[in-house]
Amino acid sequence: MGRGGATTFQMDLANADCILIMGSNFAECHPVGFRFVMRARERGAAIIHVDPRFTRTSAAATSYVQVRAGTDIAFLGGLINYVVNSERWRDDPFFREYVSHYTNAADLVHRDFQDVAELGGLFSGWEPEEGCYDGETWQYEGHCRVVQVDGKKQPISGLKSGQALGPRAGSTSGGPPKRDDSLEHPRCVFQVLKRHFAAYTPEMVEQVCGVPRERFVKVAQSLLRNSGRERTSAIAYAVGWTQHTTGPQIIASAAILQLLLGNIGRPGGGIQALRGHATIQGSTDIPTLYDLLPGYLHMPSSMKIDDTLEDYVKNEGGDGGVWANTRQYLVSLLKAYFGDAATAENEFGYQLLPRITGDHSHLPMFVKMHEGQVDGLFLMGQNPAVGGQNAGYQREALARLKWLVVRDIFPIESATFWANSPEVRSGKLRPEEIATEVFLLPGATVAEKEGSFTNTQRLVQYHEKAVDPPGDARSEAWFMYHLGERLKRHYAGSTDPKDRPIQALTWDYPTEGPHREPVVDYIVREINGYTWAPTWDARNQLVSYKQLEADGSTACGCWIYCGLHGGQNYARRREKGDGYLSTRWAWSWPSNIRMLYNRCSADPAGRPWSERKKYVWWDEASGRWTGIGDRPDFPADKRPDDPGDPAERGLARLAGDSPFILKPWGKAWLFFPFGMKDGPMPTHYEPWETPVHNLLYEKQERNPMTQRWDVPGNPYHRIADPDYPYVLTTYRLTEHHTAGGMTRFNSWLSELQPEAFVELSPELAGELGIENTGWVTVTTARGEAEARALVTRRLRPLTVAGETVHQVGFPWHFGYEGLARGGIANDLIPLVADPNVTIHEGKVLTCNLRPGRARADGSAR
Amino acid sequence: MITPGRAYGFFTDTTVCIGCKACEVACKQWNQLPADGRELTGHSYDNTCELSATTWRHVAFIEQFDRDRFEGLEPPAMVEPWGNLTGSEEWSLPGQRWIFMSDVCKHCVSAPCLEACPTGSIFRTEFDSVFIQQDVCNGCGYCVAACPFGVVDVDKEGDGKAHKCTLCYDRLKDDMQPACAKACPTESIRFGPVDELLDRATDRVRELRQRGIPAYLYGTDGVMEEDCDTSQLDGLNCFFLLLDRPEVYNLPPVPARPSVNTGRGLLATTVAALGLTAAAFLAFASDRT
Amino acid sequence: MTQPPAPVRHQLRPVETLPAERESRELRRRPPQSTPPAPPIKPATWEWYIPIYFWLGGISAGAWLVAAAEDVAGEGDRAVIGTARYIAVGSLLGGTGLLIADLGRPDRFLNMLRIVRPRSAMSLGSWGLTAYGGVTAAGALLQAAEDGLLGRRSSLARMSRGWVGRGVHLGGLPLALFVGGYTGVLLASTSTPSWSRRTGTLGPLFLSSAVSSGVAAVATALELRGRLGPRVQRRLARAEAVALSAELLLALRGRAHVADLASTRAEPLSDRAARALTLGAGVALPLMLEGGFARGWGNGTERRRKRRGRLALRQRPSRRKLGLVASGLALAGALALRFLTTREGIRSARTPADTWRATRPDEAEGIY
Ligand SMILES: Nc1nc2c(c(=O)[nH]1)N[C@H]1C(S)=C(S)[C@@H](COP(=O)(O)OP(=O)(O)OC[C@H]3O[C@@H](n4cnc5c(=O)[nH]c(N)nc54)[C@H](O)[C@@H]3O)O[C@H]1N2
Ligand SMILES: Nc1nc2c(c(=O)[nH]1)N[C@H]1C(S)=C(S)[C@@H](COP(=O)(O)OP(=O)(O)OC[C@H]3O[C@@H](n4cnc5c(=O)[nH]c(N)nc54)[C@H](O)[C@@H]3O)O[C@H]1N2
Ligand code: SF4
Ligand code: SF4
Ligand code: SF4
Ligand code: SF4
Ligand code: SF4
Ligand SMILES: [Mo]
Repeated sequence: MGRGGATTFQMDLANADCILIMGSNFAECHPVGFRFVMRARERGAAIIHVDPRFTRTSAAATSYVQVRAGTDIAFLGGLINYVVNSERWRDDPFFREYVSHYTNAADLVHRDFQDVAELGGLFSGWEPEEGCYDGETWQYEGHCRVVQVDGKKQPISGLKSGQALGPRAGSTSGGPPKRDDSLEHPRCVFQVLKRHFAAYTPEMVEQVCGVPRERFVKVAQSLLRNSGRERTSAIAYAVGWTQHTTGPQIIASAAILQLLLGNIGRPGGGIQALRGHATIQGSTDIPTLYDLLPGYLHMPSSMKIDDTLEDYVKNEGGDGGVWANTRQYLVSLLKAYFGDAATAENEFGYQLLPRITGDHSHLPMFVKMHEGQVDGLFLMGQNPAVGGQNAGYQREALARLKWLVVRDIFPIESATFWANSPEVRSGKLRPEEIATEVFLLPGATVAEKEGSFTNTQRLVQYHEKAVDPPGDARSEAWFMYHLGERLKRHYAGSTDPKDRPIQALTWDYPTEGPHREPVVDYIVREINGYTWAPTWDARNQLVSYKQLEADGSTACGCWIYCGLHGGQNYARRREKGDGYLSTRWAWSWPSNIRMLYNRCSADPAGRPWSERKKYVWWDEASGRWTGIGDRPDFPADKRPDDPGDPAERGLARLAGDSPFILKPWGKAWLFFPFGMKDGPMPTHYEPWETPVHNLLYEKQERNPMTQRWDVPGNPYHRIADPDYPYVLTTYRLTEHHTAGGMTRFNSWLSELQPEAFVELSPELAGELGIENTGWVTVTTARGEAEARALVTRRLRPLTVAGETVHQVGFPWHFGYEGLARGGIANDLIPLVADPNVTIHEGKVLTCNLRPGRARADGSAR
Repeated sequence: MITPGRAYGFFTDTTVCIGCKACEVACKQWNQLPADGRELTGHSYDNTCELSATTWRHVAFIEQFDRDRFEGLEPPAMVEPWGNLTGSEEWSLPGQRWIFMSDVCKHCVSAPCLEACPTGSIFRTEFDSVFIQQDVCNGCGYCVAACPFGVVDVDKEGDGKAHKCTLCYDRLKDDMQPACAKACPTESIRFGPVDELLDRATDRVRELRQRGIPAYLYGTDGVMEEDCDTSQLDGLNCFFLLLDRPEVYNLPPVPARPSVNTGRGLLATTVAALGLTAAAFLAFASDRT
Repeated sequence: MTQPPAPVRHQLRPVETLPAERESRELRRRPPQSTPPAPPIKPATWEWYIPIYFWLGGISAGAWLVAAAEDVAGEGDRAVIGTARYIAVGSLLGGTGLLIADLGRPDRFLNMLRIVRPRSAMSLGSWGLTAYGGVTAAGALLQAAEDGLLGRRSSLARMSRGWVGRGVHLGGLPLALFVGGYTGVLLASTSTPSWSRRTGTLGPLFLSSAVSSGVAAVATALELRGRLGPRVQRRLARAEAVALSAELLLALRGRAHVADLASTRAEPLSDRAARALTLGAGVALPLMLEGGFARGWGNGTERRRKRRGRLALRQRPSRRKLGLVASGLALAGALALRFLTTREGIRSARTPADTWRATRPDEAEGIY
């Protein structure tokens, strides 16, 4: 939907009439948020859980649908197809009204666009030599994507669009898209979409997903019945959707479905992205990612398009909506980074920013490390020896570093791999031959330091320090601050231009206490933004990102957080309120808005769609948008009938019925003219490793743009590989957290799930002679992992295209340290990733099983 | 406001429990109880298995899936979890379900453990809960055999004394609700004055029954389930809303009050004593010269 | 501290029965298939000390009965009385030691005497035990005086032989019998199905077994001291036979009470054999032997005894051996009976179906 977060807030789930939970084990992984699902259920909502396994979420749901892992696009595509062809959708004018005003359904697509059905699994624009798409034909009719280089425009298709190009890069020339409001034009998005998904019939869903068609139709009918003026449905997902070679496209399918059903931006609707770690949302907002700057600004690439600030701003913010002010955001960020060293003359220090030369995300980085190209690594709150894909490979990579700093709260596997890993036990690695110098530095835990969490609904909540950290344990802020101080001292006299950024960095956080702990409140102030002045006393906090200037008079660490500390630290606010909006409980970005795109909760004329589902509406008397309490996510005084001015930039360009203020023309996308590397619409590809062939495309069975690493130590299985006949999926348990650093060292949690286990059906266990609680070894070409068998009817074989497919589940929490130990599921998983965000495919692969323990040498064969 | 002199307890609604075990952990943490350190049991996700001297809350996991739930019958074509509580959706046979029940000391109104305790270590608090005074208990273990629910146990490896849920006596005195109830994300465990809980529970049962769900209350003497009767204990201050018969949750359908046997047993023994004394005296007297 | 509130009457507003509910009740009647990982109740935590305590307490009680009977009804044989007194105090001391050792916190034994709780068999037992402990101590004191341990011409010794001694014996008798029988009641007053089912018989069973073992202990001691004359032996044998018959009858009757429990039906062969052996060799066989002794069997005729006069005290060696065997068997039988009963209870507590059966007798079949 254009923003890296959930469109709504979890309390709002209680208002849903139907909740589709798919690709998430909501109850087990987000138990606190799940209370709102339970509340919805108690109010009569249908709760549908679609998952390969019957989980604690399924147990609490009103319907459960067992699905083959990795076939979500087929299922969602089936829903889309069912919905647009249903009587209800055709007969209720609501759907058409919502879709034609709030989405790009009416826009006409490029004349030369060709769909997968015509090209056997590929969209038009495929360049076999490059292995990527030229998205020219994915544009609207008459449109062209251009980039600005040296102030001059040129078509983007001339550029090789590798990883280094941000998905938003460039702008579209050609003015507002051509429209057909009747949605009948054969090339209008709606018709293209309808044709695209026509093949996704209930029969196809049954054949591909292994879901009996009646079950599928029931789900579709449930969603339809519970969408409309009076009713809304929500969708919740998490990493059961993202960790696929088609992950982003699965989520795109959900967005399309919700838009078609008119469920976005309305109470009880939306898409709930259930994010992971307590502040994983915060760590993408203010990113720990290699390709983003704070506030989802893209890191400049080494390509010519980002050579100057001028070009960067044009190319990154070129397309209207809120992004049109990219210059203000970036200049303020640079001012916060470099202070007085950022001037209009030196492009505010733009040239001090590093440039991206390629994909440096986790997997490629570890491949480089394995190849010996990385000297040192900081692991701060991460445990790739257990959580990383092909974990054995990643441990070997760690063993090729010169130095490794692990800042953690326990001696985790990544810090002890040189002593206790399966490779060392099997003799494959010998401690005396591992040259890596490992520094294990104790971190302070949450309760031992002050700071904030940004949760899944963009809510920034502050926590105070309860106790001092023990011994040498220090907070991350302390560590980073003092590391920065030392680096600055170290490079102070350097004349090497590459040391300039460190010299120019402002590093003026006040400190306190015996350890000179930086005062976190000042970091929050910097994130919020202030009027630039050399000293803290003279800096005035900003209250809104709209105050940001491009002339260097404001500094702001993260534009979307602007307002967080506008006068007071709003993240500290604790007014319970009504328990629904509770707008005085902490602060959510942007501008404390709880529900994004909430303009959609009113009809195009600005009236609530219904009394039951009213949220934000146009108040003619005051000439403003108003509502039940949340802030309108829309220019407050833009009339619903405002035609917008196509000649203008930014929000002024948008018409009054264009709620999606991050999109160039304010309309949500059912068809993506740019932004996705692997196609303008989702389509069903089989997972990288799959026991069956693709029923739709004979030639192009898997995502053509899958990122693969054909390196030693990372072999793949073939499609329908007879040596690896079973589907393996990995997942979490309530009782443990991720790679286990925070739970497997805790006796109370460890006793609840004391050792690794593999879940399988009695049918499969019977076939293989595996007994409940007996040992079982799971093998793939990458390695093997042993665990206890948990034989349960919660898993059952599926019938896929007439054949029996067994699915096996392996929680991936366990490792070789701590109290609860066992085989590492990630030792089995290949390095393979989706093209858009380089997310691994940890949720589905193929494997084999045998009763008994793993071989001592840990070898795959 | 938690007021001394009022009876408090739990109403545990198993239909909203999601088996997260937060209550179990919260209890261990608040009371600083050691982990039992078991191995994988293979019993669903239940690896702590039972209430014990060091586990005062225990979440039971009950997997019921068609073929073995309905022996000999084909699995229903449409499989739905039990949880169809909506009424808005079609409600089909409960052929497939995974139910959870967070078990705890029942704080019986006429508590067998209390009645059995020879030291007076167990007493009723001002919150009408059943509490073991640790400075009095001598670990005789009689309460263990007396409890009809297998709740209390003597910590043989540890301090040798009997332990069980305290209804967070220490927290109640500070006007805080019990740790387990506080931690429960879905309000499956509701803490409150028993009379209010009973009202709420009755409403909940009515609501569920109207939706066609076979709910009933376990642990009250107003019998709502014909086979189930806890009146011998005059009711339980911690009572449960259940969907299946009590045995499925490992609860006795008709828990007895063992102390009633004491009088009967002593009477029979007295008769026997008289008989044996008479016989012995006769046996000895017959030799008198 | 505020007084505990009056218990809440768990009175509920009625909930109307709906048709759907009746149907689902039928569903609920189907056998549940997932078995809980642990039994619904906890077995008693007692170690092996406790059955031995039951046994020793019983012996003490039985011995006291012998002392009283001999003193009041019998011929007032001082050897019998003295032996019985010493056994009573000795075995009680030993038993109490074991009882205390079994406590989780032995140092807190005295906490048993903080309160009197009539509903608690354990509380009553503690008090009974304490009072009876005083009685046996008094008995021992008197006997010590008789035996001249408290000086030559102690007036206590005279009193001991007179009405004071008889008073102590008779007065202590109810306490002794209580200590002999309450242990059975203690077991019956638990949630363990196999015990609570036998509320009517466990107390009497333990009491009769107490008497039989007490008498046997006195007989054995007398025999070993060479003080078991034929007349005394016959007296003791008569009492023993009565107690053993009661024991046998009560054991069989109690067995009938638990015959339908799953734990009984599924009892391992070894346990069945052990019980058969206990009842056969530990009760029935000594009963037969004692019956013979009671009838004067093996003592020769009255005439011959008269002829031998004072020598009558010395008996035929084979007969002595046989007497010892009978007493030994009775003692062992009583001990085995305590162990078996305890073991049955623990097995029963570990058998969920027993608990279901005990509480829902009409349809316990089919559950697990
Ligand atoms: N208790 C606990 N809570 C956690 C965490 C934890 O470790 N423990 N981790 C946190 C983190 S970091 C994250 S990212 C979130 C993750 O939260 P979730 O995504 O909810 O967690 P997972 O268990 O990884 O996966 C969810 C479900 O996806 C299913 N699944 C697997 N493959 C497929 C598929 O192809 N299609 C569909 N539809 N479903 C599939 C799995 O069976 C599983 O039930 O949880 C967070 N919360
Ligand atoms: N097969 C498979 N693999 C997966 C997934 C999957 O679903 N399947 N899920 C993926 C997902 S979504 C995620 S998020 C990753 C998670 O993988 P990782 O991030 O590698 O694993 P964590 O265990 O969450 O690592 C966090 C570490 O931080 C430490 N820590 C906690 N608090 C602090 C602190 O205050 N300071 C410091 N310095 N350290 C602290 C913890 O002890 C822990 O060791 O795993 C991924 N891997
Ligand atoms: S662990 Fe924390 S983030 Fe996860 S559900 Fe519980 S409270 Fe929420
Ligand atoms: S449940 Fe058991 S331990 Fe709890 S009060 Fe009742 S008898 Fe006592
Ligand atoms: S173990 Fe403690 S609490 Fe239980 S009955 Fe004995 S003295 Fe009372
Ligand atoms: S009331 Fe307190 S002691 Fe009892 S189970 Fe809950 S947390 Fe544990
Ligand atoms: S905390 Fe609540 S929901 Fe979780 S297991 Fe306990 S009772 Fe159930
Ligand atoms: Mo995550």
